[in-house]
Amino acid sequence: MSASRMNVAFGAVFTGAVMLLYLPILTVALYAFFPVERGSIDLSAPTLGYFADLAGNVSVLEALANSGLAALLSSLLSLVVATLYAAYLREKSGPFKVAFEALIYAPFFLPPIVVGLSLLLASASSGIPRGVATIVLGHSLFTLAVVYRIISVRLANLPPSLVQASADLGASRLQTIRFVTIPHLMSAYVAAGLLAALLSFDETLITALVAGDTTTLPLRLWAMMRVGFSPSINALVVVVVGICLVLSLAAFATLSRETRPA
Amino acid sequence: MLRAAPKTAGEYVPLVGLRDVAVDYGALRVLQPTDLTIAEGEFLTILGPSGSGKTTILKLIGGFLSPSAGQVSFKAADITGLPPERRPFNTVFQDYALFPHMSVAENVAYSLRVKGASRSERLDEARKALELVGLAGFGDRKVAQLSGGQQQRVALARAIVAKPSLILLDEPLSALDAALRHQMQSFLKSIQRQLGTTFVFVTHDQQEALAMSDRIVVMNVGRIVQIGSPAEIYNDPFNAFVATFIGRNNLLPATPLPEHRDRFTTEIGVVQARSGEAAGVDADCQLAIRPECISVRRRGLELASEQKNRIEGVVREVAFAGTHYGYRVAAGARCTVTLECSGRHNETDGPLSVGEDVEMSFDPQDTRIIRT
Repeated sequence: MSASRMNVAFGAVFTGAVMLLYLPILTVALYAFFPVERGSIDLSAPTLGYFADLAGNVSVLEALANSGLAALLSSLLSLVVATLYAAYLREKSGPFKVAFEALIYAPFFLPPIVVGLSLLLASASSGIPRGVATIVLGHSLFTLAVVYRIISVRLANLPPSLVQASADLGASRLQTIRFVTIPHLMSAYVAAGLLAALLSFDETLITALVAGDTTTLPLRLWAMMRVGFSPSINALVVVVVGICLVLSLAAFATLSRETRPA
Repeated sequence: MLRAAPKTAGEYVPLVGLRDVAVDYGALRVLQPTDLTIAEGEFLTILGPSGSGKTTILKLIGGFLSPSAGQVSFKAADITGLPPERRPFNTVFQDYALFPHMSVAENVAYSLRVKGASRSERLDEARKALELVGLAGFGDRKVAQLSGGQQQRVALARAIVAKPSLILLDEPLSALDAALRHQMQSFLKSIQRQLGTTFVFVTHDQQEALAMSDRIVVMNVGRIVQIGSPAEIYNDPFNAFVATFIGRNNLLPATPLPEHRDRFTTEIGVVQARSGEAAGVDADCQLAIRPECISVRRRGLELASEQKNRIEGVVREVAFAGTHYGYRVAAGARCTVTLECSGRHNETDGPLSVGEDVEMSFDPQDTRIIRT
């Protein structure tokens, strides 16, 4: 097969895959903006009415607020814990470090149902009431893997001579952390924080197990779909996809700027 | 921020001292017990091949490394255990180590910032330091926007802004191209004169060391081999290592003739050394003759001046080096002599070519005895 035919073949497969993935989402989005009359879509009357319905729905707004709060708090918690781990493990090597890092990465790769059940049992036996607090803990646990990875790699890239230069110029250890190390990590913090918020925002399975009576946006969506389809479900999907899209684009823009060679 | 340089030549005030300082990495001793005194206001170069321990000495002075034994002192005080941030020395790092997230001015003013100086004072001092290194108006730039030579100047400005007692420079010119390196050599030297600050400069480049230094410390395999002015080091090398590491040299194994005090048998015949040099030499040694001290002419031509050491040979290699021709001439059974002839003052009546029979000669005054 010639190179140009190969290109055409690859192009066709790629286009097919993209269509398969994104057409359903596009269809749902389309249905969120146009009324449906007797099974067929009426493209002549675009409307934001379904979004207005959502904005007036107290339980949806409450779920949105919970999701936002959980995403914010769990990503902040992840950032703090990941920084401490990265700083601690930076000087370490050998089997101890490998084992420690495996423990950090495990919750991300374990089946969510296992992580969720473990957290459920832990909260039951420790007496922590289920709610936003347990959601935040659960989300931090599995976003920590991603956040730790980004921060530890960035920290490893800090040239030792910068730290030496700072000390040489009279800075105390705390001043070096404040003026050199943290600014060096800043773009990693932004990227890791956005990714953690994104992962937290659309997480469903672990959340379902540890949420108790609290509802997050994905849980609310799930609950609405079980009752039966309504146009506001389409609108809610658009909202969830939109937020995820913005977070992931921002995260990857930061990451790619960060990894570009100086 | 400018400090006058009142030091008159010959005035020697000890500033930093190393006493019996040794460094071990595990079982490996990278620095043998070493004594060194650095005088106030001098430009001292530590010169040696890689692994000779020169950067180890720099780290000991800067406080980045603790000696396994011995003492480091500043003026009269023992500073052996003092961390870098509490020593009044600043370093220009090999990779410059500029902070990439700060502007040029913020980099320069960093030492003032950690001391708590006000913003206006910082900006003012940074501006003056940048002016001094020839980068006036560059304060707002990002470090990444500067060329290697400009980054080098920023690193220097950052090191001098807090008026340290001593500046350590760790092979700062090694990343620059040849033309820029020459320019930076004279620039560094003139800044040092202007400030009167003590510079301790580490390099493996002997030409750099000769061009810039008041004194040179030559190191090899963890020891100081020789300390002296550039002329002393070049003209009176202590041993074969110094003779060949600083500049180039022809080293001839030699045996003294018992009845003639200054005469030696060598592979290329009997050679007369500088008179008086040979006192006390009664064992085998080496004779060192610099390539530029040997004159050469086509065999059969009349000698322009009568010299005592005359050797016949055959040209094996010719290399044109711009300012001179470099020749390698086979002489005796197994010996090759390297020599240089400046284009204008040679006595050869035009450049020699490979295969020509020549006669070389050199003055006994230019022959050094290296004890082995």
